[in-house]
Amino acid sequence: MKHFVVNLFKTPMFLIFALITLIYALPALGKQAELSRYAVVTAIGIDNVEEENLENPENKFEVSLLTFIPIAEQTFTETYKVISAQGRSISEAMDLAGLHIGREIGLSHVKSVIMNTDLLKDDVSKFLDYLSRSKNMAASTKLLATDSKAKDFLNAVQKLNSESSIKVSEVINFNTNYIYSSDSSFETFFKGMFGPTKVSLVPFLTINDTEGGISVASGGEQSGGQESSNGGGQNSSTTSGQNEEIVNSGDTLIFKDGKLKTMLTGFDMKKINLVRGDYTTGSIEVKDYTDKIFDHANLIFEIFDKSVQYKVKYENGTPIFYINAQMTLALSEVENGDGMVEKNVEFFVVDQKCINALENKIRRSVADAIGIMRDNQTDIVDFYTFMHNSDKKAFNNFLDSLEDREDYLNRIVFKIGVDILSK
Amino acid sequence: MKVLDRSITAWQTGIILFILLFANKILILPSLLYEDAKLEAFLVPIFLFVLELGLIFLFYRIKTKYPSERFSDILKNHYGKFVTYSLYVLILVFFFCKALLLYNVTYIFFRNMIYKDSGNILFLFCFLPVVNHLAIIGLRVIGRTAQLFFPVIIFISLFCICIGFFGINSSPLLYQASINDVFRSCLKHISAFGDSIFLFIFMDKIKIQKGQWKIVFSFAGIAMLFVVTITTVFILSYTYTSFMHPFAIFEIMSYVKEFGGLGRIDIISMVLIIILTYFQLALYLKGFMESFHVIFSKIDNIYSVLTFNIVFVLAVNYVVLNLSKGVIYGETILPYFSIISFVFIPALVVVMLLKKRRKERKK
Repeated sequence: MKHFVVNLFKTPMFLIFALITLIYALPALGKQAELSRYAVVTAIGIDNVEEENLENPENKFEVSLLTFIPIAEQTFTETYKVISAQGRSISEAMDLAGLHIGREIGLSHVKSVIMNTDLLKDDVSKFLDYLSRSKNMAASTKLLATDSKAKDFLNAVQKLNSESSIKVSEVINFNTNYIYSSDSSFETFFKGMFGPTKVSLVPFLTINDTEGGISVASGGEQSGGQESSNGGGQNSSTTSGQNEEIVNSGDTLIFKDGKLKTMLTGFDMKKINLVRGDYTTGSIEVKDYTDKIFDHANLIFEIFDKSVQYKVKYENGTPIFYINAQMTLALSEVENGDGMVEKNVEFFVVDQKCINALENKIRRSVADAIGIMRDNQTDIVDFYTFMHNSDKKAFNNFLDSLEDREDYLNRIVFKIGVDILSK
Repeated sequence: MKVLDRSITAWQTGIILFILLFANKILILPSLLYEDAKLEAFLVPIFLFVLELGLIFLFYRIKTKYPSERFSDILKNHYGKFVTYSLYVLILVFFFCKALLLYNVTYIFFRNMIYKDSGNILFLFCFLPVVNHLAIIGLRVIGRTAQLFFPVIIFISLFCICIGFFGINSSPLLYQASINDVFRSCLKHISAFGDSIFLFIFMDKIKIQKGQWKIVFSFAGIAMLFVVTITTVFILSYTYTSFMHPFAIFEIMSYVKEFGGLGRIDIISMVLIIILTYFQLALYLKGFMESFHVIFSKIDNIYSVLTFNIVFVLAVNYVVLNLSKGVIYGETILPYFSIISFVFIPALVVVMLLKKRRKERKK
């Protein structure tokens, strides 16, 4: 034993290890638990400060935080609160929110950032700067916009249920994968903004009552944890007993270079996504179709598979952009003018007439989509990258020949080819 | 204090060379390369590794011509004491500056990512004793320990690269940067390269049998391939926002974690970074000690270690210690020191080799 102890003291690394343990490990035992030090924020809302609510004339922003505060309970219900604070900058408002709650603001679990549309008149990057610099916030955090106050939106989210914020971010995830292919994470937003087209997309959600779209309804019966604090004790506009719906109709805000350019409806986005190869689900409706079986029927076809090929050629310096879409469709629904169709549509064979109708419909939709992008000078599909990578020299010559380089979409001739396969 | 610098084998030399070529290029370098060279940033390490390969080839030539002589002695014989001491002073400063930058970057990385409340003193406590111990205990021990950890390093690096491929999901805008931009970036970040001069100053301790050189060159090749692949994967994953993500190997894993839902997979890359940092700091200290010993050959080795530690602590605390300062220092001051590894040493070695050849011909 004596020999062992002597050997230990002869080993400098052991002494250093013992020293570090004594200096750092022991005081660490007496430290406050992290759960008591941090407020776990799951969603952030950012609003413009309205003049009547000004606590300080210099305040510009109101930041609301949907915060999970760990409380020892016998049930597993998680308690969320919306805390808000005003400040001249986002970081100041965040610090004040921390003061209100008496904890440090932990941003590692933030799933979504909600922006009020009033804010979006200015350059978005101004107030997203703080969040984009934060090393704690995940790059996959979803950005979304609403026409109501972001604080009210968070209050509605809070009332959904204990894991509501996650559900809202899942609604946006659903956008990405299935309906309107517009990923809206921080990373994608900045990739778009710093990319060649400078175009970024942000989903637009409302909390109005509406019949369309995907809605996440929030009942007003749950009043626990509804407390709101913005320094002046201002209460949330959401009152107990009121029913609200968070509605996602696929509407999308289009930003160019960080500035709001326009808002496109879900139907517009659907048309644009027809041009994009990475979007392979959805449906196409052929209206007022008549043949031997159908009489003035609306036929709805589900897209099973889709591939889109681009090709670009230059004729006298003008780019001719070929979009060839190949789609596999299956009839999924029939709305017949004369009631039910007698013949079993399960075995319906898509004839040439129907294929022509579908091709025309798709061509019109693609033309509409290009028209929307041309009107707003927003290259949502990113034709720019394809043309640049195909023939950099010819494309640069084409851009140089334009008076306004941003207006390149209006100078490109698009030719649309559609090939339909039925399933 | 006696430093037991016993000889190292071809395998150990290869592994040390791998660490020297790989370690300090996978954290902040790819992001900095993107700023100038955009998506063509992967060309920068390729061009600079060509220079590095030239340096390794010169080492091969001089080692085969002078198999058991010290580099400082060869220099003294050919150029005299003044040139030798001047060169070793520069090498000493070179290794010290690189150690400073490496520590600074690693400290900022770990503080930002995990240990937000930890101060520099704790990090110095964690790094300096181990690094000192590794350097003092001898080159062979470093080689053997590196041999032990090498499978872990390779496995984690390969894992990061393979996982990183899942993050590449966009068709980026190619040919953004001109060849001028790429070369400008090469000059700006040349200081991250040139660590192979470590082999020159320890050439008498390296024992490589005939036919074993391929091991050394293979390890160098693997390290270069890894660096180029990691840079490419990182830039193709983040494309236009690469400049917003300073810690490449971690960000690659982080990207897959966040968008692929693979839990905290990014922690694996931290293990790699910490292992590599320990080894590389030890190698830099070893380079510093050897240079110090050549300049002040009559005083004990303990003084070289003490000098390094004192100046290092002072410099870390008062000169750098934030990422932007570290980057400015790495991009503006350190590139001048690369003259040592890419101009002075090659020029001196080439002249020596030519002289030797002339002598042999006369015989």
